[in-house]
Amino acid sequence: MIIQVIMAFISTVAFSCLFNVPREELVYIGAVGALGWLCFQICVYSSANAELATFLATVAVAWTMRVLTPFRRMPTTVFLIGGIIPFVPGAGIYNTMYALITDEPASAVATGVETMKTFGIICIAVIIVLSLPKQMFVFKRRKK
Amino acid sequence: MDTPSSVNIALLAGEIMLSNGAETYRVEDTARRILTALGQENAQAYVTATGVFVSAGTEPPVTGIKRVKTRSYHMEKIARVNDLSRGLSEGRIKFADAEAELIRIQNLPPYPAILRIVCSGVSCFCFCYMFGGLWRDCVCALICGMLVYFALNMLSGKGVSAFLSNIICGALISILTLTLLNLGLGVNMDKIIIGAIMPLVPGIAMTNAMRDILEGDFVSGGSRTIEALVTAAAIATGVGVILGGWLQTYGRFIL
Repeated sequence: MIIQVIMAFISTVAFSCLFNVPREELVYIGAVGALGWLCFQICVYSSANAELATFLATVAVAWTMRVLTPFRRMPTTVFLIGGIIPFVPGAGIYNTMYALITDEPASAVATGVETMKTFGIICIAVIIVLSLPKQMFVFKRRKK
Repeated sequence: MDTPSSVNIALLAGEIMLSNGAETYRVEDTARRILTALGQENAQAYVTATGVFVSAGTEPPVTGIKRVKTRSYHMEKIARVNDLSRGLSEGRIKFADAEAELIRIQNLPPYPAILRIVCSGVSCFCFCYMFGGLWRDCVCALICGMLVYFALNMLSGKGVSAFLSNIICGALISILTLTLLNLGLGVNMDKIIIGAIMPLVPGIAMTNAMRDILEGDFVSGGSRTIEALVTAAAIATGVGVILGGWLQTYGRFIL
């Protein structure tokens, strides 16, 4: 599991480089990504289903991001891109396509719906955290 | 500062942000904040996914439009413009310096291409491991990731549309994966491909889409959602055409 989290850190940092994020923020982005993946792993480990794990991990990512935003004086997007990328259903896209080319329309529909569901879960989790009032996160900065 | 040049500065700021992947509401916010900071009355900004409209003043109002055609992702520029607009309204930055500063931000270089190619490979390597690939699969994903990002860079430099270059890159991934699989380096085809398509999947388009919808910008939120779906479909098409063709011809993936 430790290797998994380290991998999540590296992948998030490397992925964010593709989007030219400011250099000073790379460490924070990696931390957000690693935290999200750790959360996901713990959820899966304690036998939560994938949907719940994705939801909780995305909430954790978005929450950390909200705390970091005023603290680092950066737009939220900077942290969001790296943080949620491990949960974007690349596997779902692939599995849907694979079911299509191997002539299994029923399983293609099932995996397709599942992919859309994962997209939806990520969106809802981020939206919930982002629409929380700003005051909930500001006190962190004053304490500093 | 007089109204026309204020509108010009707000337009330039909006253009930089929108063409580098900012959310619609953030662009509107920034343009309006800049206009207000420059002392303009009746500051208005309307932004869609493809254009910036800025208006200020009362009699007569001055309006400017900027059409944004190409969109890439450069987070640092967004962060800098955001910072500039806050600096203007807090009085940290002088009005006279604003335009020069904006032009300087616009010309900020991206990370070196070679670094981005390596980063793409490294992130594919890690993603492949995170999704349960063996170390050998991860090496395959690394190779695919680097070559695909190189191809993506080259195609966008040649002005190929995003849709077509996603299909080509998807196809390239599956060709490379099949080759490596048959050379005996890779073991799990699915893990390699899933790792390698991660730099292409529309994570950022989706994120921006939901931010827009959340802020009530349903026009750009909707169009960005469609962008995300089309991108996902393009990748799947590219990968699927090659894999399907191979399966039709040979009957199995490993010869």
